Amino acid sequence: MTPKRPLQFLTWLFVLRLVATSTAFAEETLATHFRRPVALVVSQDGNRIAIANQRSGTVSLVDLQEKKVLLETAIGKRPSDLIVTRDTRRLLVTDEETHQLIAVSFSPEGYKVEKRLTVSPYPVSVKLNEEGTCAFIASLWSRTITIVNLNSWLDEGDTTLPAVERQIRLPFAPREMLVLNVGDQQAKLPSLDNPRSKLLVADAFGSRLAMIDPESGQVDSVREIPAHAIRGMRLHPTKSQLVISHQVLSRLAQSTFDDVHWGSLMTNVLRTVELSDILDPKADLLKHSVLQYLGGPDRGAGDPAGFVMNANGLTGLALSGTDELMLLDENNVYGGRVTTESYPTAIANGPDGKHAYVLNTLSDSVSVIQLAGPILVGTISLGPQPELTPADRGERLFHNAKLSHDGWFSCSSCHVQGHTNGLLNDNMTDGTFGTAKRVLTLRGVTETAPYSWTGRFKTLSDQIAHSVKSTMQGNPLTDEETSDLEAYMKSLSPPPALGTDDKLAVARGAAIFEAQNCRNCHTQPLFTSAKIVDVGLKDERGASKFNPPSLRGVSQNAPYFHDGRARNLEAVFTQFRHQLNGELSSEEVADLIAFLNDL
Amino acid sequence: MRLPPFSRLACVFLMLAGGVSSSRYVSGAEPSIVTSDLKDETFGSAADQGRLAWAILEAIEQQNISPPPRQALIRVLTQALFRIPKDAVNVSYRELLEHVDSEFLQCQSADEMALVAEQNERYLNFDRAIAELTSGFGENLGKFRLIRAKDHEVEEQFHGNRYVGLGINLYHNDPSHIPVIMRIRPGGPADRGGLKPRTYIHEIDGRPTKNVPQQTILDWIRGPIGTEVTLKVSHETSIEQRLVTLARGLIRFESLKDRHREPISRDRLRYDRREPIGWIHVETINGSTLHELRIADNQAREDGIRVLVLDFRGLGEPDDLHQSLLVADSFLDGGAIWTQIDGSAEPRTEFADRECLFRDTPLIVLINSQTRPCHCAIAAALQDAGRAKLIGESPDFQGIISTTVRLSGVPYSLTMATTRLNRARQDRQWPLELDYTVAENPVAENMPASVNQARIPKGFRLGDRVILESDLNRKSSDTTTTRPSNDPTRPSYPNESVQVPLKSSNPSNLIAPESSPTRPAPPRTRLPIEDVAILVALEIQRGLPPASVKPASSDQNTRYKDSTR
Repeated sequence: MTPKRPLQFLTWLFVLRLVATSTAFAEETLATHFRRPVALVVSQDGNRIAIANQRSGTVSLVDLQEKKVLLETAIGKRPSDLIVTRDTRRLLVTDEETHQLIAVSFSPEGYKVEKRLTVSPYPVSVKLNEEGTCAFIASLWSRTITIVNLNSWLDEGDTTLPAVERQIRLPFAPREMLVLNVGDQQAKLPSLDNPRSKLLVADAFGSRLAMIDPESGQVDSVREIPAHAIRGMRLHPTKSQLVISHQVLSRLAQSTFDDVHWGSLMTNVLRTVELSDILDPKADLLKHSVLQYLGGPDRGAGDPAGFVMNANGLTGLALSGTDELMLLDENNVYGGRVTTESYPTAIANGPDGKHAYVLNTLSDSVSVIQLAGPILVGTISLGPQPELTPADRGERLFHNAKLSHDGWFSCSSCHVQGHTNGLLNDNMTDGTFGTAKRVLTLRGVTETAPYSWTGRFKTLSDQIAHSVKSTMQGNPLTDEETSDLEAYMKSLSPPPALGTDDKLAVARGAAIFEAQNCRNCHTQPLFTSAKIVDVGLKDERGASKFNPPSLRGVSQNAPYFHDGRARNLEAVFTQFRHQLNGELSSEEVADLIAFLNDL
Repeated sequence: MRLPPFSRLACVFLMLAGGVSSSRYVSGAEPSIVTSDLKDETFGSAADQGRLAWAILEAIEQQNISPPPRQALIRVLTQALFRIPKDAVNVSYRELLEHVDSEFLQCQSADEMALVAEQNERYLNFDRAIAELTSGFGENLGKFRLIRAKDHEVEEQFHGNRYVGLGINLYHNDPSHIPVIMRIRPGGPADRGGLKPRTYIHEIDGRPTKNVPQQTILDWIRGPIGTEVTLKVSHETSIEQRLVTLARGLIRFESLKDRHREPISRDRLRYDRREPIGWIHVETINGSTLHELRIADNQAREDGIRVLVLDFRGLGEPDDLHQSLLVADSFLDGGAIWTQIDGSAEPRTEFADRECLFRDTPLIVLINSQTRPCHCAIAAALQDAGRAKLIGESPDFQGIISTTVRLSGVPYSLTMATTRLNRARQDRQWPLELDYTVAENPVAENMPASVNQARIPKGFRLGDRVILESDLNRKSSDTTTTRPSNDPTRPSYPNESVQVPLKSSNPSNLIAPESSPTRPAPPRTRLPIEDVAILVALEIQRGLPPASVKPASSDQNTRYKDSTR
């Protein structure tokens, strides 16, 4: 198919616009601060890239020929993604702290914020539709896709229409998105009578994929695959398959040396799924799915993230846990690795398809890599960093798969972005094997001692040291490393509440919470306690006494109980009648859930 | 002398060398077999012996599938807590039993039993302890065995496929009474050090080896990874002795083999290059098996394999139940695997996830009377899920798995029945009922005709004509043909070049009925189990939808040029 999208041509224009300004900025003007680059776009001629810096709230423009930063402009609080509009006049940047979509234009002074639009809270990624007339924004904690009419918002078309065209709620927290052209698959899908673009949205933490029809606002399907930490999705160059980078955590494997060493516990994969299966809501996604296992014994490939696929079939994949780029040839056969800097995440192809640009998110740099080889051509610093604090060092450790045996996985493999993948893991934290327990969120964990499901660890540092040595089968941490990791975890705030507009229901739910004496175990203000409570639900070895997890952000922590047996909060009360004194009506259950959703 | 394939021999040698019995982990069929590798073992003081007895008691109580009452256990164990006087050879067992006293029966802890043992100067006789336990509770204890903890560690190395050694196989029965290196693991420390087979080891780290017990030799050779050992060696072709220093290294063994029981190379997953039938001999199930299966899955996809034969036959190396669970899971697309009852714990049903190796590839599992317990469990799981057809002879496996567990506070480990498995399908019981019963060994004279005899020419080759019952009942006007043969048991056909496909859609026709009075007796020749497997595989393959993957290319054909049956 001939690409309809004018991106390549227009990004070339975009570069031209920047030529005049490129010499106005010198490297020494760059501030000393942490940037944490998370997203990039490359110009058509391969000479420039624009980068969104999450921590500094800036956008950087980098000259690849000169290997230096041309400019860095503050545009918000916490940029999370960026994209170029079809006319290349603007960058669209999501800001997950101000909950905005920001339109940034170019001027002789640099980047200039042109417009801000409030979208659903915690926007983390943005994509354009095929025509470039709409932007799709995925909002993480509010589990919403916002569709923005760009013509209306940017005053370039029918401005009578509202800028926010539609908001679509999802049953999971979204991040990665991909716009699919159904027309390509029309012949294979006779049941679809209306060819049009669809939006594929992936679970930021867990294993779900949703297919959305942006025109109708309908969620066509929500399906699960054995996956978590979906960090990359792309259409295969053949346009007939979807490729996803993710991890797989086995519920049956144990955190023994052998299961870690041989990749039985955690695997890092590229999964290929037939696009026709993706588009057909009734299709089994796994029916034609093929896994490419990454890494192997003695050399894991922890935390695969963004990847590129060029026309020759070469795949360049960022291994964010091992600080490497892995090359796969056209047959997905391993073609080598090259070392990057700290925590490579996002990646983009150059226009020739021969080079890839990798963002090293925690070292504020860009690795330029020739895919054939692969060969590290050069590294471009995005600017000076201050000295690392303990929390900064802890953040690097947290995302480093080298903490685990052979680099199979990092802390963030299960605790994705410090949260939870919602899956079960059979480790010795509870003192037994054969009793897989749900991975707990680390957000807001600092003040919730004791730790682990059984409350086995009195301090967070004890839990951290045990997890690295036992669960990850890594080398014992030094005291400083343990302390650094603890400092990083202290910086993680609790998951934001899903929230509800019905504040009366929240008030009624609070009364029920009180009347049911829930606070005896889930005591305010952290909604937890140091108790070890028999909840009447046994694990496989008969243990039924657990430390109550904090209820702050509980709406984001599904599934529930030690083994995830309750799929949602409703099941906690209706199916398992968790510690209820007497019967609750369906209205009371709804009120109680409203209260919990607001915590 | 033609030696068996290295890896098998290596395993056997290493296992034996490690004081590891080849009967490990077998259970159910022969519960009363006693295995003790500790005949010459002594362990500490009388108090230590008392602690050992208590540790055995605790382990049995906590982990056995059906532990005897504590008092009975103490009685039996303390019966073996004797200092055996040198002149006690003729002392009757009954006389010894009378030494049991009530003090032991009142013990409530390891310390108490240690104290009583010390006060009475009692020492545990390992063989007697095991004999007592197995004679008293054999059915419950399964294959009961006491081994040194360090030998248990070696077993665990094998289970994890991370054995540390020199990569040599020793022969201990040479007339010279000096250990001889029989085989060398390619790429292992000994290989890298330039050692050759038929090399005598005269000294190990300066200690002469002549007449030294096998176990001691192995204790000297083994050690932590990276540590060095110096051997004084001479090759059988020379009298010159030289010193070689080797660093102990990781020795890995493939748990999956090809049709010829050699490591699976890229070219050797197919049974035969002409048909898309894969063949994997699952020699053992250890930590690396799942990893190896994933690689084989990729190979099978690239090679267009449509049906896969899993050969579970033979005395493989010890299995690991946990790894077997992962392997069973890897073949299943969701659903129950089995229900596991560990000791006295609550039954728990294990469920497979939806990730599935060899998806859409029908499986055929070959088993025989020697198939090991965990292999049997996997076969049952695949059968219950409708994932595989089982062919061969049913082993007498009753769903009981033995495991070696560490004893608390003493440097020993105990093997006993720890787990009972119930099948995923509650309407199915042990032992396994096979889909096709085919004896593996040569046909006995009185073997029923329904077993082991089929109407297929002896020595048929894949790609030859295959004669089924239905074919034989056809008239000669059919196109059924085959090559001329001098084999009198083989039907004669006019034209060898004509290929006749299988006519029957029912593989059960491969096995002749016991009697068929209405039909003329067809020629009957024994059909090897491998051929039955392939015939069933071909039948299954014919029932599959057209391949969506590319068939083996001509280039792939050339890769199989060295493939022989």
